[in-house]
Amino acid sequence: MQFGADFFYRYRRFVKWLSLYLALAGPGIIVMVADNDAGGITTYAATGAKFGYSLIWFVLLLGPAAFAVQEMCVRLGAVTKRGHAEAIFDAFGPFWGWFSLIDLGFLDFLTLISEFVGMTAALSVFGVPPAATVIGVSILMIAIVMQGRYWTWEKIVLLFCGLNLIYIPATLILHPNLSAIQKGFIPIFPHGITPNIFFFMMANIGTTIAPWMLFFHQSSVVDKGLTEKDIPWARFDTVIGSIFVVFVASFVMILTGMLLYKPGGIDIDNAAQAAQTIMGSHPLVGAALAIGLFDAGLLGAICISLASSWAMGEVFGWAHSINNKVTEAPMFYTFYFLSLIVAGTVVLIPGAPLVLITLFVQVIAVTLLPAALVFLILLLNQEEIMGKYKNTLTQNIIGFSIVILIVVLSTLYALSVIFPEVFQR
Amino acid sequence: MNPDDEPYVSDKGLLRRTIDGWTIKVREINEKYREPRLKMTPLIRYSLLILRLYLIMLVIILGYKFYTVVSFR
Repeated sequence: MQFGADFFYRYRRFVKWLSLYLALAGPGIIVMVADNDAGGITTYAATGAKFGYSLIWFVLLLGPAAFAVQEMCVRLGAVTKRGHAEAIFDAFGPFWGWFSLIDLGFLDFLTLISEFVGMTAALSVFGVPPAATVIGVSILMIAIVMQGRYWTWEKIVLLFCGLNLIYIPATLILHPNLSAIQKGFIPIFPHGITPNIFFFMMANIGTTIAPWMLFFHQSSVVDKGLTEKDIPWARFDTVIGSIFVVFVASFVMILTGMLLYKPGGIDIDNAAQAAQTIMGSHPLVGAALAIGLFDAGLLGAICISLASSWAMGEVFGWAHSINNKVTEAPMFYTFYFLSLIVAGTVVLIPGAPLVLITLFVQVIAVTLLPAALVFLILLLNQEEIMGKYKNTLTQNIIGFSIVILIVVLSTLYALSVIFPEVFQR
Repeated sequence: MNPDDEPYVSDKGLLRRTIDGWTIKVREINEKYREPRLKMTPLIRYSLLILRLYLIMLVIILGYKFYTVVSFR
């Protein structure tokens, strides 16, 4: 009898805990899953095709690094109730404020183009014309923000996040060799640290921590209305998201490692090309890879376009909540719609330099990422802003180490993109 | 006045009004955030200095790349 009562009590407590978490869940999972955008999936697929399972351990290490950075955004947003762009203006003045805002706007626009490139490539595997993809996606993205409720928007986006898990069944139906995969969890370099493997490691870092994530996460925490007392939940949400991101990344690497990797590795330019190749031998798996790529591009596009719109709204003082109707926040929605339409149109221009744009994204990212990270860590150390939520010594040691590592490696990655002849691959 | 000119004059006015509106808004933002809220401690000052130097270095590298691409052509 006592056991039954105890069990019922624990069950009720769990249900209450789960309900509370589900009410507060969202920003952490969304930002992390959207981090596996079209560029991210392409990078993981290319890494798997080139090195098989041997870099899985490295991707797993990126999860805690991404968590450490995003957790700081959660605290800053929940305590200050301000987005990252506004916080930079307020704390560092107009010079750094404009620099960050203009750089973010430019970078997000280019990244948005690359998401449209990924989505059109993914659906072209099924014979869908690029124009139909661009129009369909734009209508869908406009529709999900226009309903005027943050809660509804968030739950719809979480459904798309769930679709990101498609890589797991797609891999499992191939009955992967677990003992071979296990070796990928051991941090070794089977053929030493070659420039090639270093390039791919840098690319994986570059795709795991992107500048828009900081701005998006902080603004979404503010728009959701999270406060100091919600920080533990938002932190837990970010942990779940960071597990999600490395889980999906690992499965993409396993999938392409299993089906495309040959001794010496093969080069693939994009995930759609990988999906097309796989479709020849495993139609279902190839289709899953293409659907996953489309979903990744869609999630990336949703978050990136909102990151810019929120940042502009914060700085220019426009109403900028998804809880607002279009008539209540006309400038915020106009900016959002325009960025979508223009980015989609660029993809459809015959002969547009899309490869150059994709490469340029990586270069522009290193002009903003170090600045955004440095501002973040400096803000988190201000007692008058953060109060008891300021960084502890341990958080600072971890935070500074990660920031320095990310800045150095992402800079090297950008340099390798600018000067490929110096970083002979 | 030629009636055909009217729409052109009207459009130009709208454009000018928009630019003026944005200029005023930017000035307001600059004024609002003129004084940085953070106290410029040595840590912050050196961090911002390093950031500036880093960005200048990137601009020089990108400028060099642009120069080499143009020269090669």
